[in-house]
Amino acid sequence: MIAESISIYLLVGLMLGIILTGVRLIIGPGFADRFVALDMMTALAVAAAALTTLITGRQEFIDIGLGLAVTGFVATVALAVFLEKKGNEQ
Amino acid sequence: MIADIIATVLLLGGLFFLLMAAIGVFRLGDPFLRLHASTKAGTLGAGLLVAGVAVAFPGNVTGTAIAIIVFLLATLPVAGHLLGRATYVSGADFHVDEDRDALKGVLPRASKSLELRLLGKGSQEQTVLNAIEAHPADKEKEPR
Repeated sequence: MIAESISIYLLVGLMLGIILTGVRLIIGPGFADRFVALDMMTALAVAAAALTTLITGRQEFIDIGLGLAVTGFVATVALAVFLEKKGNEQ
Repeated sequence: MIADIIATVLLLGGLFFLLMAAIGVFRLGDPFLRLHASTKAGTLGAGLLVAGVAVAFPGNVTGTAIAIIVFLLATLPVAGHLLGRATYVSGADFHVDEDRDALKGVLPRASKSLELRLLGKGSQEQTVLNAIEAHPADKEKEPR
């Protein structure tokens, strides 16, 4: 009972983290900063999907979290390979 | 009742670590420090929060939650390692003395960060020369 009643406030706290990470994603001076922020945002989005499961009571949302984790990993690896190739060849 | 308390503690702990990671990504000084904040604290926070949801949810989501936690634990360190290596190789700025750089000579490192080079500050040939000079080991490996 406690967990379900506080979960909406936890989601508000997660939004604060997503905003901080998003600011870093926008202002980050280099490509590396932006990629790190995107990686962090993926972890926050997985957590937000899991909390949405608890708030709405629909268990499909946790599958969305799994999908987000997989997609975020592939995206991060692709961006890292891009950065390494592009940064190294000159 | 006990499960509810455990779930609450897990959820609060997960949110705490995720917020610490987000604040670290926002506040710390260079890409490596930000990576340090996001990989460790971010993995722990997301894992704790998903575990808390699995305990608190009345339906059966334990299997998917365990899959998410195992996947996060397996992939976020790998992604962090790849990003850190790419960051070092691409020449991003970091605040360490030149003689304390432990990866010097181990990995090639561009002399300027990628965004500076893409913006065209400094000629391209000079960047190539600097990269070769800084790492003589790479020059010998090149095919004749």
